[in-house]
Amino acid sequence: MSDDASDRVESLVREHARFVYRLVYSLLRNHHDTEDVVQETFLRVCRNRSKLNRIEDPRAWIACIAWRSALTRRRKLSAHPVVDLDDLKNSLETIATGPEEEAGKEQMRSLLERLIRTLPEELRNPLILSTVEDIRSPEISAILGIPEATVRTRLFRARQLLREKLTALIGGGSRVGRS
Amino acid sequence: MSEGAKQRQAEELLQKALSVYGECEPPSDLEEGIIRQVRAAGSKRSPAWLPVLAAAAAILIGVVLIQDWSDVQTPETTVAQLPAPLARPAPANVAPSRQVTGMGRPPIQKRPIARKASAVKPPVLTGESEISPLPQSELAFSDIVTTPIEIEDLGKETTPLISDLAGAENREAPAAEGLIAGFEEGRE
Repeated sequence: MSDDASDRVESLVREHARFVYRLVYSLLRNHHDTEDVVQETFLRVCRNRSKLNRIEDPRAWIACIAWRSALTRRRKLSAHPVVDLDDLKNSLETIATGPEEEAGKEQMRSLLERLIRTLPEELRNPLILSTVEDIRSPEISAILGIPEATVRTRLFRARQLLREKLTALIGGGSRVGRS
Repeated sequence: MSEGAKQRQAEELLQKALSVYGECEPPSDLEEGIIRQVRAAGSKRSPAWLPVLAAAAAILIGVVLIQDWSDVQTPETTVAQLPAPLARPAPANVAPSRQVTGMGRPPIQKRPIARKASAVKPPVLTGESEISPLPQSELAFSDIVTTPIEIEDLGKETTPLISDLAGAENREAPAAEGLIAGFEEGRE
């Protein structure tokens, strides 16, 4: 590998590795798999470094590679488990009554993760990407290959569906509630 | 709890959950680990001289094959160069003019590719006596087989109609009479 190409790839790693990590983690929710996919992503960038001069937005290009790699990894891992309604109610109760803030956050993440799994994929992917720090609709649009307006519409519908599910859970759980 | 209160609570919960969902702290040595991997992958690439070496090897093999092929194709190649027959000496009762003129390397050194039936041309024999004519029977047979049959000829061979036969009889009668008259005149 020539020095120029090597330097270019290394500067891309330093610039975007953390963003790519958060992006992949938002989908896989597992640090070990996320590290593997991030490494795989930058190895692909290295193999295709000859294209770098023609890429207008390297961050979006790398994000696209990372997202596809993460989707492939998730398919290999397993199918989504069935979400149990009772489990969700228990999680909600723990969040409402959790004594420690960090434990509450973890429970909240777990609850949302399971709720998101119930969404259709076309709504799920934009929503997952929207939770990643520093990412905006144009980038989500570039990663998913859909128009920006469609991204906004799907985000709105996804949040609406989640709100309805949560409302139903709060109403259904007799012990859940905050005064 | 009223429906509105439930919805407000769900909204709050959703906002909070979405904000914590994206929280993620990558490992501190993430970049270094990736750079190590990228460098290792770069160093594993084949060296620059390898394609040159491969090309040189290919050319060398090509030259050897072409040389071998030209040996097989050359007109001087004779039956004497083929391994099996040449291993035996020529019979004593064969005339010198019928003996094949062999030149070249000993047959034992020939490569197996020269034995391929498709690759080996029919041997060129030297000496006039080796060219013998084909047997008469074969000539006749080939002539029969290769003689084209005209479509018109085929038409003539069809069975004539009765009316045609009757007409032929009528036409032949004066000719026969003429012949008989001529014959009698000749005798006289």
